[in-house]
Amino acid sequence: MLEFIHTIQDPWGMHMRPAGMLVKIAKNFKSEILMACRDKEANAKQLFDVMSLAARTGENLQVRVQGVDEEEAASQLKAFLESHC
Amino acid sequence: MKKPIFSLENIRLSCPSVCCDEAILAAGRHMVEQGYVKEAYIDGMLRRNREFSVYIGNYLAMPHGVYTVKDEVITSGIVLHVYPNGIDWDGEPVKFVLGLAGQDNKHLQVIELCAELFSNMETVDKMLACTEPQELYNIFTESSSSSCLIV
Repeated sequence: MLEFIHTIQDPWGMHMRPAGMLVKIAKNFKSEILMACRDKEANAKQLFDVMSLAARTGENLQVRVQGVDEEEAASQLKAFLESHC
Repeated sequence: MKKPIFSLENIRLSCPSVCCDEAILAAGRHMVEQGYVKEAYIDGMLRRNREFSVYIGNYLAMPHGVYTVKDEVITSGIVLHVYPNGIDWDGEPVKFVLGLAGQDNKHLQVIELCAELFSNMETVDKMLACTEPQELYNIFTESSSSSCLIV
C-alpha cells in the first residue's frame, strides 16, 4: 500500500472540475484508491464520494492506494493533485 | 438582509425537455432574475460544460461558471430545474439541472450537500416524485449538510 498527503492549494478548494478529473484518472487503475479529509473518507473512483469530501484550501487530503498498479496510480494522482489542486 | 442561497422561487418543476445548452441558459437566466449573477456568468456556464461536462451522475447536472467569470457572481445561490422526461446530456440522462454560483467556499458546501442528496437513489426518486416546490425545498433543507443554505 502507498500513502501520501496533499495539502489543497487551490483557492477554490477541491471544486467540481478537479474532482471530476481526479475520478477520471482514478478509474484508469485497478487499485483501490481511498481519500480522506477531516473525518470523511471517499472512494476516489466515485464522483459523489469525492464531492462529499468538500476539501477546502489548506486542508490535508490523505490518499491511500492499494493494488497491482499502485505505484503508477499513486504517482499519477500525486502529479495531478500537485498541478491542479 | 442577505439573500438566501436557496428559496421556493429558485425551484421549477415539470420543465419540458430541451437540449443541454438550453437547459444551462434557462438555469443561468433564472440565476440572473434572482439576482445571484450578472448576465456574463451564463456564457461562462456554457463554456464550462463544453470544456468538461457538468454531468455528475444519478440524473444530476450542475452547471456553473468557469473561473474567469467569478467576478460576475453577485452573491452565492442555486436554482433547481426538474425535467421529468429527461434531457440528453451528451448521452447521459439528466432530470435535475442545478445552477450554481458560489463565493467564499459556499460552493464547496453546496457540492457537499448535492453529493449527500443525489448519491442516494431513494432520495433522487423522492425528489422526482415531488409535485410542489415546497416538498423539494424541504428535502434540501432537512438534509444533514444543509447548513450552507442558511445565511
